[in-house]
Amino acid sequence: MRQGMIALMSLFRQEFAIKGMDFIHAGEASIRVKNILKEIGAHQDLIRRVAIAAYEAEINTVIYGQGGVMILELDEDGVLIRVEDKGPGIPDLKLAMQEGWSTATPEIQAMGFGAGMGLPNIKKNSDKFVIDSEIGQGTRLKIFFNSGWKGRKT
Amino acid sequence: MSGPEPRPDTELSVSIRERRCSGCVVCMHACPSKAIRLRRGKAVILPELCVDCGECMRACPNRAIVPRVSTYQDTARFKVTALLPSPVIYTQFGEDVPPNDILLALGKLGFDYVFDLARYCEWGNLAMAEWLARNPRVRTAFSSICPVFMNLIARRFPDLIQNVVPLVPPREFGAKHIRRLLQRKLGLADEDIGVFYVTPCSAKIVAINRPSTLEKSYLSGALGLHDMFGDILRALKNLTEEDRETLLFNSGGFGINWEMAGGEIGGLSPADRVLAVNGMHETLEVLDQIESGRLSAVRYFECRTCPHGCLGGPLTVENPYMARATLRKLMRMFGTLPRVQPKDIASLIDSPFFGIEKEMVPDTPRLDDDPLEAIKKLKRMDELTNRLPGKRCGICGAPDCRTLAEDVVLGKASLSACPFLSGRDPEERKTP
Repeated sequence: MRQGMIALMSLFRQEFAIKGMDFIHAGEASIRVKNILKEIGAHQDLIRRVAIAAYEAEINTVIYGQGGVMILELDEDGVLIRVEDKGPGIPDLKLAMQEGWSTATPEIQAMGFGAGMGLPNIKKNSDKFVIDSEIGQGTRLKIFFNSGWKGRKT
Repeated sequence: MSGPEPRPDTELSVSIRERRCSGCVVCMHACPSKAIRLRRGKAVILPELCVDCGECMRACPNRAIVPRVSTYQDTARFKVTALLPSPVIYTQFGEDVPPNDILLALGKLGFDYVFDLARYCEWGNLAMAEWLARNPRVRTAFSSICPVFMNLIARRFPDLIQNVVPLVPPREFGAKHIRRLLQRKLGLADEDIGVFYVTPCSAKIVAINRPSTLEKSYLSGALGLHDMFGDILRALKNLTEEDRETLLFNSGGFGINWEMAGGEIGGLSPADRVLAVNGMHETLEVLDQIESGRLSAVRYFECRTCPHGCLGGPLTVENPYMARATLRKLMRMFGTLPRVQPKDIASLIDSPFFGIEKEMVPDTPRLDDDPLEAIKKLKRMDELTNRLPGKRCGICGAPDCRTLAEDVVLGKASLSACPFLSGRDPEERKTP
């Protein structure tokens, strides 16, 4: 899966900071990413998939990752979203990818987060998904969406 | 994915009286769609961005922005006229004026028939409850009542078009029903019958001129509640006891409440998770959250972009808090239980009567039809925005720097319009 991830010659790049445990502003980066896709007239289905995956990744960074950054890149083939944090890392990625598996505290779950659907949802809504995590170093997500933009007018 | 034909600015919900406009930019900053620009010192509205919410009209300190509603003259071209006033009207004359008196007073203003829309709202509630029951798996469905909400969906949330329930609002199927009644009773042709809504907002007139889910509106126009207010007051004074023997109002507190915030979901089963959202900012926030996959446990949203729902519409006269107090009194008087029972409209429920006639079409503004070109423009826009001062002064004629950058990229404005930039960058000043 990893080899397939394209290192883009991006036509557009923008970074958004994500603050850890800031629940008031949690979700704003993914909304801005979504709005950029709307501005360029991306297809509704693409907008929906990006909106959901970016939101899940952002919330993970807010809750577990102690904050980080979301980087949006657009190129001829599609949309690449990278989310990077310097948090505690995920000990068992295979386990984390399972639906319903969560390390969220009861307090976090009481706020409506931590249902264990975050990573599976990102995978489900994207075309390529690479996750890389190291204990004590942080977690890096690469989420790619095919756009079919090349040579197409909407 | 091409949108509907662009509308001319004569089809906006408001118009700007140029002579009264002082170019103060208050409206430009009040607009949630960034649809207002200053051109030659006067405000202009861009129809392709406007969602008809009327915020500019509320904000204008010079009364230069007026609603584009129907006039009494517009009703004169029909052989027979019927009025279908928004139930908001029942809250506008204080708690001592009964709803029936208000309908009778409207009849005194030269209209042949006056109908109680609250009754049709009860029908709408039954149709909605039935639709939810027949579609048990549906989540995050939207009401189609508020035309501004519908515009927001078409313009800014096109991926949520599929969430709008495929039912038309009570004012439309009500008008359809009235047309059938009058055609049968009077033997008139459809075009001889004028059915006019009495509206608390100017957006309804746009929904009549360009209905998003009907081939053609069943309403002939919408008269402004504010325009009729004085005439109704006068007619109320002249009502006699003999007049009052005629009963035009035939619903209860439940139907009256329907166009207020929370009125629509009030009649749905508490077992369904249903939410009422009102206010422009609040509605946009909820739509953003739904798009991110949140609030997915909620089955049905009643979204109205005016505060308090339609009762807070820009053409209402009564203070909305007083209007709510009146409404509470009416609900105590008439009870909160529906007057219409499912069996009363069973045959209509199973017919296409309540259903939409065509699908909503996305109408999203974009930088370019070619996404790759759009990305290039986006990049240029970002570069320009970074050079601009970020002051939101409005002097350039755009509401903020990013919007000016967008206008420049689209060839609609020049960067030299920025008073902070001109003088510093001779290269940019050359552009026309």
